[in-house]
Amino acid sequence: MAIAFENTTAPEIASTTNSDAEAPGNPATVPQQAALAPRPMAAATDPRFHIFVIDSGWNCAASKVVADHIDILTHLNIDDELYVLDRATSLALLRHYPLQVGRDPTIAVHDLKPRHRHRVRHTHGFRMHLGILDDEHQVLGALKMFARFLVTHRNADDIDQLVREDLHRQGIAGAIQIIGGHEHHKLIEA
Amino acid sequence: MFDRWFDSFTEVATAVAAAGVLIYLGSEIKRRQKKLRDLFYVLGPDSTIMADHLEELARRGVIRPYRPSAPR
Repeated sequence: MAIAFENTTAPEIASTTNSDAEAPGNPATVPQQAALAPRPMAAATDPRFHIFVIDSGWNCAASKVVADHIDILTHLNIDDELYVLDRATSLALLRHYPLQVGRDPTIAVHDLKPRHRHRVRHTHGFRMHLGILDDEHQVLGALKMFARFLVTHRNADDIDQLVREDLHRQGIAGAIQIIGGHEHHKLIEA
Repeated sequence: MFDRWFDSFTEVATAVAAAGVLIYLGSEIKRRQKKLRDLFYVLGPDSTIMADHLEELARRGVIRPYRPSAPR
């Protein structure tokens, strides 16, 4: 499918600067690095996810929260590739997907090592529609939940199933958490 | 006579109230789960076109990986 993009510009890319304190040879940092070194289970350095941030600028509160915390997300998911679409690219993209208009900022996570359950294969993963949340606290809560989920389940076998269990709170245990859980309550209510 | 009628009335009223609470809880859980499903939308076959579109943009270099500033 050939799709022309008007005004597509490269997303803002800040150069990665390695300060002296982070230099691998610096003796002061060696014990710290050893302590912070990932355990073998999380040592896979090939990307598991492609993460896309789409934001046309509708929801100013959500946009601000996402922009303020995008660096944290990147540092937490250092082995995955994160793409931040600028406003023009986001708008050009959303023109093709009208149902997504007004639901952004959207964070799309594509699983590069999915577990296909059906014969018809499709991209696995999930999208977080932060634009449907009302205030900054809810957006921040959702973003924290998202970051924790990705870091915790990076090596999980079936990410779709985990989203349903962990984030959608399906089943009886999920229902109890929805009614009583403080974190979900904050996220849903307001 | 009145006692029997009153007993059955309270039983029915309790049952109706309990059913009302259960229905309310059920619909509230459903509403909140729907909001969570909208917030964290799992990709399916219907999302393939947009997902492929994003991957294509990345592959063609229209969008490039974000490089954050070093953490302080």
